[in-house]
Amino acid sequence: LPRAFTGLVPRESQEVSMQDLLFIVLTIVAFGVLLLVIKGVERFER
Amino acid sequence: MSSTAAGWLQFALLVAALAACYVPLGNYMAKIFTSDKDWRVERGFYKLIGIDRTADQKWSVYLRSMLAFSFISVLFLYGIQRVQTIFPYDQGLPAVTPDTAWNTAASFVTNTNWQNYAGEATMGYVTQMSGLVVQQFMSAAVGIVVAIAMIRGFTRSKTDKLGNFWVDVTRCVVRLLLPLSIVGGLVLIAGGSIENFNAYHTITTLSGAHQTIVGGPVGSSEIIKNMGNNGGGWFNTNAAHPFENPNPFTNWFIIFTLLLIPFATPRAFGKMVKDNRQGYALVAVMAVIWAAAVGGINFFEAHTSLGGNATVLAGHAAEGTEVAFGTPGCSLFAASTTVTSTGAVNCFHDSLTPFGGGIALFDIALGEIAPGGVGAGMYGILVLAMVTVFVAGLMVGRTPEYIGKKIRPVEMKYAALYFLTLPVLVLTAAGLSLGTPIGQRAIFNPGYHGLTEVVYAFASMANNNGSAFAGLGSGDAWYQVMGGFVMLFGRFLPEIFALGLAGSLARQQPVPASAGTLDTRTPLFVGMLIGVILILVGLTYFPALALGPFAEGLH
Repeated sequence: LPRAFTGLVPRESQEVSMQDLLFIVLTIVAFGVLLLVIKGVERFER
Repeated sequence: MSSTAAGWLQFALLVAALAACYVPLGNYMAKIFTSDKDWRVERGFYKLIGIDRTADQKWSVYLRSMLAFSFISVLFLYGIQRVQTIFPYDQGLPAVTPDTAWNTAASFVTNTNWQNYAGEATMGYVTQMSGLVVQQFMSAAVGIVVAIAMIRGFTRSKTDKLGNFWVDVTRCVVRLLLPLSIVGGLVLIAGGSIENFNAYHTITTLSGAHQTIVGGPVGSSEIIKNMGNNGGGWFNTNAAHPFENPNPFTNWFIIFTLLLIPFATPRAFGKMVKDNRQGYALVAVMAVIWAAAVGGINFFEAHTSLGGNATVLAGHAAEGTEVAFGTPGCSLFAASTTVTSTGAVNCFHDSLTPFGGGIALFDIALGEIAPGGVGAGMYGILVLAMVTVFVAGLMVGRTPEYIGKKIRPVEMKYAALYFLTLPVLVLTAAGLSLGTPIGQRAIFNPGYHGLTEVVYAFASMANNNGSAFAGLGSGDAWYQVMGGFVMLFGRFLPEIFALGLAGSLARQQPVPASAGTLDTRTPLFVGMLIGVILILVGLTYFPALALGPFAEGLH
């Protein structure tokens, strides 16, 4: 939702960088954790 | 007519309209997910993506399909934002920065629509249409199908299969969300929401100042933003912007659309479990809590003596309110957007009176089950209904059964995990933000209000609401990354436990009702369920509520 103090000024563009790699890795980590939880629940089920 | 009377008239019309849609829409939803027949367009889609539509999935396979779909969606949406300059209609805007792009991708895929950016100054038209709006359809569909899979836990027995995720999602989009959005979008456009591909242009005002006039296909996205309980606005000021929400009629219609599917889902539940009275009981709980939220926020926004000096001078809590809708229009919207997981706003929640804002925060902390997000509200209230049945069993010696399924320790463990996940996420993230310099540097308001802003932010993100109290520099890297994780875990961890619970229920043999079975279709059960919800949430969040909005209001 609207953020105060964000303002309407576009932030500076950035070229494809190491940060992109970092956020892709963070996504993989987050979903990896969720898959591990599913695995844990399956084990609990047995 | 006074604005207060107009506000209550709008509320009465909403109740009437929602009541009129309850049976037909609920029945239609049940039919969508129980029919054996596929539409031609659906068959073509299954062929295209190589899906065997007859293959039923175990709960964990259903979940993995959902997670795989969401994983790809996050990466796809992230990529679109990062290369938006290659698309037409980019309005000359640069690529979205990596941290904002990731937070936004996590936000829209989880149906949160928390926005760390101003839409008209950050996203080109193609990014909004092919990235954000697509996810507004898909994330809403994912929530609905998880609820449907959970309901199948009650309707099926001696199996661990809960349906086919790909079939359910396809049907949900093709048969439910798209048709409703086409009709609703036309209503909004006819009501005055803009729908164009005009480039931004600058005009000179009568006073000689320059003003940039923005554009975009807003009406067609505004409808799914609300009907899918998404909330991510095309513009920074969301539904307070006259191009999104131009007049009191569109304001009423937007509130109606954001409540429509959540309030009809209990009917689909009743229809699927072949006992419509079960649906009536749950919708009664939702309606009571929603009405209490509307009344509460209205009361505190209208009673100036409780709002501080500024409201006394203005005659009502006027700050941050869009004058076209007035305080009652703001209160009705604020209550409806926070009891659902919508998060769209037509006034500034940071400007609500302390107790009014406290109710909005409490609504979100309820886990958004009254009526809750599309689908998410349904599986949330089903888990709490099972907790209530179990508590009743402990108190009065009744057999803990719900819809013919025993509530055993294993089901209660799933329910406990489900319920504990969100408070752990919210309070841990808020505690770390309040207690560390890295989190504190983005808090612009000291004292009680600053604490409320931080707790509200993480409650909103974890519960996939998306509304903001503001006053918080959430564009800071800490809030971008922490917020992204909170939204992803806040969405998917409860869904894992809900579907695990559904799988456990589906494996059971149904038990016939006996003299010892608690009737869950009575006003007594409705009252008990409301009590359990309020006590559980009240106890969990009381310290945060006491130190934030309550302390500010009493100060």
